[in-house]
Amino acid sequence: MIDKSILLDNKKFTLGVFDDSDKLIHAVETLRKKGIKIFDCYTPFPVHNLDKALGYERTNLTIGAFLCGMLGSLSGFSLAYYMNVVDWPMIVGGKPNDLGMFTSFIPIIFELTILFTAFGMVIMFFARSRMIHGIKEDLLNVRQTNDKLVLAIDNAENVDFTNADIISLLKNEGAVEIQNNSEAFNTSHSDFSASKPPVAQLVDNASTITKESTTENTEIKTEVETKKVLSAEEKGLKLDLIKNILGEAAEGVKDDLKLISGVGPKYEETLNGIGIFTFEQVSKMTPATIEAIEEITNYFPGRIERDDWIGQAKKLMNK
Amino acid sequence: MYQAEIRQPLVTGGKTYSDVTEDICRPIENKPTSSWWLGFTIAAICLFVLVGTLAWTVWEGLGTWNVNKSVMWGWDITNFVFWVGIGHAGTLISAILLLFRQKWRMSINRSAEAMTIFAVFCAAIFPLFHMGRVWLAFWALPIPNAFGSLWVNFNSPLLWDVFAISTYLSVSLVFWYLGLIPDIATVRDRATTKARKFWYGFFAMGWNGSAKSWGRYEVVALILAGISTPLVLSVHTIVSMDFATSVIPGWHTTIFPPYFVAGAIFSGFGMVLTLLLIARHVMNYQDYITTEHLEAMTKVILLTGSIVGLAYITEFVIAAYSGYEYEQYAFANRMFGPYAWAYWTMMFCNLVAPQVFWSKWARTTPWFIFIISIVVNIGMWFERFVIIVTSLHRDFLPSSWVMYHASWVEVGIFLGTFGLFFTCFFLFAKFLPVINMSEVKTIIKDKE
Repeated sequence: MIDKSILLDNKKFTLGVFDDSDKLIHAVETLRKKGIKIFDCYTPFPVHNLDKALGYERTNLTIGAFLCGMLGSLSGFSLAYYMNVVDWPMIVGGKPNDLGMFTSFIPIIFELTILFTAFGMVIMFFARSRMIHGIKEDLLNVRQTNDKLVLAIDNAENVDFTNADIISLLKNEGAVEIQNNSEAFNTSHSDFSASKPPVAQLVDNASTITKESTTENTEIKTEVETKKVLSAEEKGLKLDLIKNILGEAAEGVKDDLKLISGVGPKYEETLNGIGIFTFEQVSKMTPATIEAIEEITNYFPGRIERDDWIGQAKKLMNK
Repeated sequence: MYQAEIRQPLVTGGKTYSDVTEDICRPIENKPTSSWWLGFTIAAICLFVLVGTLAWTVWEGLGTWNVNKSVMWGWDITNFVFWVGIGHAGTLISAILLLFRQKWRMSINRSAEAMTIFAVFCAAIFPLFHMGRVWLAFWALPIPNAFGSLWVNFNSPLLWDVFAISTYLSVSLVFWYLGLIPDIATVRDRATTKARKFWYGFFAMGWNGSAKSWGRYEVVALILAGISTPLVLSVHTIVSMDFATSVIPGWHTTIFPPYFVAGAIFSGFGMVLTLLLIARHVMNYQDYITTEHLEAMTKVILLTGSIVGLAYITEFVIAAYSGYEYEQYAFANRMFGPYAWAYWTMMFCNLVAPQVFWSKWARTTPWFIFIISIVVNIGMWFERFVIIVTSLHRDFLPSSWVMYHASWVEVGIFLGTFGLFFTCFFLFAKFLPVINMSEVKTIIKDKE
């Protein structure tokens, strides 16, 4: 398949991934007010008023459609006129065989007008949107055609803003995930190959930051980018802390931690690896343990509190 | 926007975006169920009947049909009008209801449009084979031929039909395909096999859901809807002119175009209901095709059924009032002649039966709607049969009066077109999303 990625190649994007169309529109409006240029948004369904929020002008396809329609009318008329009046006039039932036949041409003119409009417009639409059979799709996030709405910001267009600013703005607007691609985007990298299980793994991805980076235009390290490498000693201390506060699960007792929203099968394993098996343990978490867990497991900072795992775990315990 | 409390949600079950994707992709991504195989096998057997009877017609000639003087149009043209009429509901739902901003159309438009396309395929078979030498069917096209420049006759409604039906088929296909692209892309991005990834990728044309594309896409969809609306009205108008422009008592009336269009919508909704009630049950789509949807469709049936009934009565009154004895006889013959049983079947099925939908219970009880939808299909087939056969079997000269009964070949072809229709529909239900995911995702939080 040939590549479509004319627009996207060699660009560096910061992506905010949303799960709600209202939040996306609000984010777009806020970011644009601050002067941040938005490259485009990618949504699984048409979001009402998103084009207005992005400042897109209404497409000119309608004019093209009208011209195609006119061409169709003209073709219909000239086809019928040439055949039945100019080239081979037929007298059927004493009916006129000159321009007086015009009323008989109306259905033909009408149908061809519709035919030319429909096909002309659709072909123009495909051309304008760079769509053709067999072209390779340029996806920024594999779920953008499923249930996630993606806001793409081209870093090169926004040199006045640090990456950290943009990321914190996106997070304030309720982005559930930030992707910050340090490498230039290229469709050949984004080949979400067939072997990837589409759902399970992605749920997990959504709860962890997929790519961390150090940005080129800023030295500021944001909390997203922190991926501290812990020394073995530090790690041991943190594990002790976790064990002391949460207590140890009895032998063989294990709750299905996946029931907590934000925990996928992979992360459950990680939690089990540091000795967390039960809802009771989760419910005992304190700010210090949460921080320790996040550091050891490289989990999305602040997510445990935001998703209220403690509350969730308490509820699940009582079930 | 303010929404009244009495409005019911359009999609029930508190679905999220990913639930919609999961539910609707399930039949595509899993092996077909046993009920799918059962239905597909029956349909495929009927399709064999179609192939066999058509082959026999071509091999042996049109003499295998019982059409003859003076009933030159028998089951074939009846079936042609029947199938074209059925197609109209699809375009009506996707185009006219889009213009009227009826959001309930969104979970049924995909399957209704598919139905349109398959029904037009079925319809096209009849006039083509009625020509006798089907391999010369291209003579109906405006192309120069071997005898010099003898062109087609643009005065003939039969030629208008060629243009109308082929335009209708191609525009419907484009409309349907355009609507499918975002959903095909969704399937592509979830694909777990190489073949699926390739084929859905091929037909998704690189769709990525960018806001720019969506903006254009919506404009294109709106304009296609805008031009499909007069198109669908024109198609059945032209079909009715096949009859109305001939000087045959019972056909030669100006009421035909609106009466045929209403009848087409009526029969089309009958067929949509039949199909959707089966699909909703087999595929467990009760949350997407809710009783609200069924109720809305039954209301359309009630309206168009009443229009059709009114047309029957008007037609009769005009004939009685005309003082034209042949016209009067044609109608008396319909009611009390040898085909009276067909006439009264039609009257019962189309005029009386849909009136049960005044009752809320009838509008919201799926099994009952299913029965009425079948009754409507039968009634509308008989309407075309009555119009064609009763007007033809007794012409102006009593010595040439005949009776017409279909031969087994004609019956086989009609049965076979159901095979073709359902085979296509089963394949569609297996390989394409039956419900428009991207549109339904916009309304999962909305009310009617």
